[in-house]
Amino acid sequence: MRKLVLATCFGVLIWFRMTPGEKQVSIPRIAARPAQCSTPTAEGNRAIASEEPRVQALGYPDLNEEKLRQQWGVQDYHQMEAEESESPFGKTVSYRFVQEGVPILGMVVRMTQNTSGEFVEEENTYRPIPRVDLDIQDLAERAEIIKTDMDRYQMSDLNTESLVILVRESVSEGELAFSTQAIDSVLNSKPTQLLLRVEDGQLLQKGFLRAEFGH
Amino acid sequence: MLCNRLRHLESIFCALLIVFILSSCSIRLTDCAGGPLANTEKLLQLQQDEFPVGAKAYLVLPNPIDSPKLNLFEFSSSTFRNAQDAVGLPGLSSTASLENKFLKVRQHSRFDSADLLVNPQELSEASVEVKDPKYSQVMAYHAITAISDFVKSLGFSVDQSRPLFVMVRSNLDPEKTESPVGKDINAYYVHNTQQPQLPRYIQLFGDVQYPLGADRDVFWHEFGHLFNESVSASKGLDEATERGAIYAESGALHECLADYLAESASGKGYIGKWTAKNIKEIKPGQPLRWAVSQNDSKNNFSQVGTWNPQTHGNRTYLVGEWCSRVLWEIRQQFQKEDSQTGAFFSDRTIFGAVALLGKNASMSEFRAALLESDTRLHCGLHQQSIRKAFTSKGFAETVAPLTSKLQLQAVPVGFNFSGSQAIPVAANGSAKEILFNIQIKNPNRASARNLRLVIETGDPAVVPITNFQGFGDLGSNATISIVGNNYSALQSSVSLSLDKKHANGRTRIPIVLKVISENGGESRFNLELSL
Ligand SMILES: [Zn+2]
Repeated sequence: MRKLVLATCFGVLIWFRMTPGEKQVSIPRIAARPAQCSTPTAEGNRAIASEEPRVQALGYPDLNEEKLRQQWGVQDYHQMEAEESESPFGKTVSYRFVQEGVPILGMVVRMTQNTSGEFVEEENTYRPIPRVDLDIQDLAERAEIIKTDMDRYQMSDLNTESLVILVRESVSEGELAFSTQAIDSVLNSKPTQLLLRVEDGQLLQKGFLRAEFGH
Repeated sequence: MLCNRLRHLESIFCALLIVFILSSCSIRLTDCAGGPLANTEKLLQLQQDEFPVGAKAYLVLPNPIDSPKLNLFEFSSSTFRNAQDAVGLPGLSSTASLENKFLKVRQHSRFDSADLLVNPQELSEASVEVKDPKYSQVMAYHAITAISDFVKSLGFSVDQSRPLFVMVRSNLDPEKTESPVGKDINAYYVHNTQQPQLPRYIQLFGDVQYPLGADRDVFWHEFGHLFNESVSASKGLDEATERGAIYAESGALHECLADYLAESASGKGYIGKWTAKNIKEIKPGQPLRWAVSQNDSKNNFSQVGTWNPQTHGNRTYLVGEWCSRVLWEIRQQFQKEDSQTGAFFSDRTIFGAVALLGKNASMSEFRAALLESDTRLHCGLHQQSIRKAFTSKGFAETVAPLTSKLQLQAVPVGFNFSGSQAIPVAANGSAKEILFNIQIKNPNRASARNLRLVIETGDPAVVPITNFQGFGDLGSNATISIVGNNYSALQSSVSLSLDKKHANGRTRIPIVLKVISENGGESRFNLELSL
């Protein structure tokens, strides 16, 4: 009998480690709130942490842009643009940066909601880089030279509309670049995207499209 | 007497233990349901192909092959017309084309002339012929609005910070009206990560007998890529593929999730039976990919995920299909719990996991994220099912660590370009691009799990072009060899460009290539390039 009681006890324990289907229990459909019984496993944490840089978690009950600018030392000439995404675990707000209408690539601050609803920094690569000179007198001329020099590509128009500022981790200043679609004649008319430095046409980044058949 | 008392104590202990288990994290079973779905009615309507809201249009759903009203592969215009169902196109905001604030449907390019586009006043005329690009435009609008509603009803947002342009017979460059129309059958999702001033695109190519635009699966899959990026807040879930990796586990995951969304929303368990009719390598009647396990090699990770130069170019889809079968098995477990709504809870748990992933996520990370998502939403009640779905398909929980370092050899090859010619040159500062001949050997008795080659650099004079390539698992004593001076063949390797501006007077620039795997054996290869 004693063995039976203990076995029942262990049975209950094991039963709780099993999946509902195996227990023949159906998941109730109504709940007052999402489950808060979430103690991430060490394995989970290690794996999810991935290669992302993590920053000190600071809780913000709301996202007040003025306060955030102060907190992160955002320069006056950098405007912030917020993008929101939502999942059952709460909101993620990503701030990207712009200088006088020109998008800056390579700097982002990402805030996610924790279980108590506060926003914490998940990623922050903002740097107060100096203002980039956008007043390029011979922009059209430079665009033509770049196109001629890189005749393997059929590019979109390179003009003020296609300008971006690229921030590279290893370079202290932002670099002004043309961002363009480019059909690559070397790779069988493969569509690509290029970032080319305005100053000298140096290739700074190449992007590839997500094609379904063949690479 | 003593014995009785002892038994009594054991019973109390047992009861206390159960109370402790239940109260240790304040579990009530109702807490484990993950909260109610945002709009169950809408989800059920979509599953039953009911789309009552908006201007009425006519389509064969989900495509002529899977339609219950058209079971012959060949059909006349009249049978095609008779097989059409009325669907509502909600939210139309233009009188000149099928579009709303977010979604814009086009034929060739963003700036198509009005005669190429469906005028919403003439919707019934747009759907008489399956090869008519205007039919594909109607399908595009229907498909994308329906699947957007679906994921919103599951409790997710869709990134609408930029419009989504869908080109059903796309130009190679959709920004240009004069760009050539793509001839080869294909479909792209373009997130335009490095061009923030541009919208997102879905581009369909090929004026073929079975147009991709007549298949709702295709739009749902392509939308799935946008959805993956939305849920993961554009963190670079699969940055590797966007930067030219021929294979990365993150790329396979992106495809897997896009397939799963289309397969689960339609409840079909496969994708692209109509589209597959254009591809001669696929047997008649077979779809592009199956989420339901088949009697083939794609149920076992080692069969799809192990390095093999013959299948390397297609590994993204092989591993993607394998992964969708893992997810389908998890979905079946949820369905056992509730045949009507279980699949929706499964979808929410699976896409919830995507929100937890970081840059270039691996399959191991995805499995951990699924367990975490289930813990947060369902108190971890499906941990065993999730683990089993992976292990039963050959993805082991733990792998033996590598005791010896992986062996890496690299030789740089420079290239300059003239028109469509790639010309091999010395690998120095005068080369436009530098790629690497590489050899990687695994000298261990154990397989190297998820082997990757990366350029490790913090040097401003080094501009990585493709700085990440995945090769899958590398077996014991197996070697990866990518050699020669053929520019196309070397696309499976990593590449860079040298930037003289940031050389700071140096004439030699150090480069470090690194090979990594999930079970250790990491090694580096150092070399120097002259400017
Ligand atoms: Zn895809």
